[in-house]
Amino acid sequence: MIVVLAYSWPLTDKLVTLGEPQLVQTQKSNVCFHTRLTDEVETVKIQQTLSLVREAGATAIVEYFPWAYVEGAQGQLNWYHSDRIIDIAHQNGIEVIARIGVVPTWARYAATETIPADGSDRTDTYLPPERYADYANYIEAFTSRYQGKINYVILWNEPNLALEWGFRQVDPEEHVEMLRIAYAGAKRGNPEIQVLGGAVAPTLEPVGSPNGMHDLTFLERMYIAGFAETYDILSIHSYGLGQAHNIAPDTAGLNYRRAELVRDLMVRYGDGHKQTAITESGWNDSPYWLHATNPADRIAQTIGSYQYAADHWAWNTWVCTWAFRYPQRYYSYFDQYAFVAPDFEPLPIYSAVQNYTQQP
Amino acid sequence: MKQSVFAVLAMLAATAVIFATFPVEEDAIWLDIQNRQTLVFAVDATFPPFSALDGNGNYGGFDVELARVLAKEMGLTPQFRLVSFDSLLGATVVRQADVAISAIVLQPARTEEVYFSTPYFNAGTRLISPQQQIERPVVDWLLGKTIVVELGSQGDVIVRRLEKAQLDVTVLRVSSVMELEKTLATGQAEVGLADVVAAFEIIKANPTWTSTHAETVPYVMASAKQSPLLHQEIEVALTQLEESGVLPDLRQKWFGTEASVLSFAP
Repeated sequence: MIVVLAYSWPLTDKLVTLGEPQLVQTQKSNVCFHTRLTDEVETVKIQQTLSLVREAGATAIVEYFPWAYVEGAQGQLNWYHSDRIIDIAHQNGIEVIARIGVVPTWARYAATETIPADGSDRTDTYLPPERYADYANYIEAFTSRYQGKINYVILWNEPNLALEWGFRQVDPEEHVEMLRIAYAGAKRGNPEIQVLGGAVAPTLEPVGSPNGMHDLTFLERMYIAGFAETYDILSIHSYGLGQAHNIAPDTAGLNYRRAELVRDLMVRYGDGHKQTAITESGWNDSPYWLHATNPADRIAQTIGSYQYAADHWAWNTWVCTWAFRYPQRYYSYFDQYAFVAPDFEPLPIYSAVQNYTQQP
Repeated sequence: MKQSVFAVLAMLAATAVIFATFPVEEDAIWLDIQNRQTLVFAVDATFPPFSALDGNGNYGGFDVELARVLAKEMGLTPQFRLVSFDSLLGATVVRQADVAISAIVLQPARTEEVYFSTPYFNAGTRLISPQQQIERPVVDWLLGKTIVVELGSQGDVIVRRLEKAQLDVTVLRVSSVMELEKTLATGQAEVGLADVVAAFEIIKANPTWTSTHAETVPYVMASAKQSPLLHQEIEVALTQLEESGVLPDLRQKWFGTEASVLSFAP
């Protein structure tokens, strides 16, 4: 048994070869997916996922690259997982927008603190100020290593949610401070890298909520704190949440065109010359979730959102819909965001998007 | 879907082993619950009919009512904390809540962080037919029939598999559950595939029709891994609620007679 295991693992991986470089055939250059290869183990599954992305006619993906996977122990870097994804995406002709997060256990505590003996009591989104420099050093190593293959990185995710800020009270000024240090790290590694910042979660959280902060309030406070100096492209999360893609935005509600309110804020603070990218978007067709729509409408709205952005938002690059495929089912409403099932069965919406990208 | 059943059974077995080895006297969470006499539930109130808020901000829904009777069974006072779905399990880990409930399905990848309870409801997709009987094996019974599904739904995914296998079925795709029901009622299709809650509603409106699970998705509660005693108490209370008829009555109240008994897909 030991002999079989010893030979089978490396052999299985070696059987997967990159093959000839491919090009994405598409008529719709702004179509992008947020993939979820973070927890995909087998190389062949990464390859199959990215082949399906290419065959759908998507020019780019947002993919999550956990810091903790690479630098589980401080200073010891293992790039095996990210190398595979980036090489295979590159071979498929897909632009990778790398979202970097997941704090390793060691970095959740300042050097002067002690990690509890029974395990971390801080989640993987907890980064104390004393560790900002470590995060920046990792970003530097990442952008340096993938120079020529990765042109875009997203620093942090949805910092206006307590969940994404280590379950602490969210803090826009402190977040900008972190971004300032991380941005410098990204540029040290690759001066040409385009840094995407922002990525706030669309939410109407009331003042004082322990769960997070209203997205526009958070973003405005970020701008006041000097956010403009810490990014090159604004990352926007803009979900449909049951409304049609072309419904006008409203400060009292959330919908796809909320991206326009974010853009207004950006312009107001003198950053109108920069581009945006919708790095999370989409409609959900859970039968129960209050913010979902029915499956047929999800298909219509998703395709409508790509076209709306192409027709009306010259300031935007990609529309990246969440989430292409999960390595395994969540058995929750999350599954109703997918385009391809974990077993690679294309869902009806995948076929619809594929048809759309091939039309002039 | 049978894997889900096996996963649940495996979880229970693993739980038994943990109980046998864990130093329960150090269960600070359970001690805290006993001291304050409350059981705090993390709820995402955007999942009607399972969990929702009414116009006055009051919690309601099947899951919320279950939480109330569960707490009562445990001799505790229920309290609810509004948490987004993404944070439900994490809220128990960081002790912002004791139990998470809101149409949660057992996630094997999260079992290092939380305990999942035994299932209290089976969601999923159901076959509905105006005919008196759905015969088994179901796949054979479907041959030669016209099946109606909502475009893009899980029912649509299932019938695409049948089409891909080149089975002798005719598929009609409609854009809503209302259209699906109408298609069945007018005899344009002999069988439909719909989400369980919609299917139960259709059966309530058409009591002579029959239905059965095509796929089952069990709903569970979650509680922090640091408290095996809390998990144990939840299991005991859930079992009592099931055996005493309180939980079956609750399912019947919300979803109709067919929902009162937990059943898995054939």
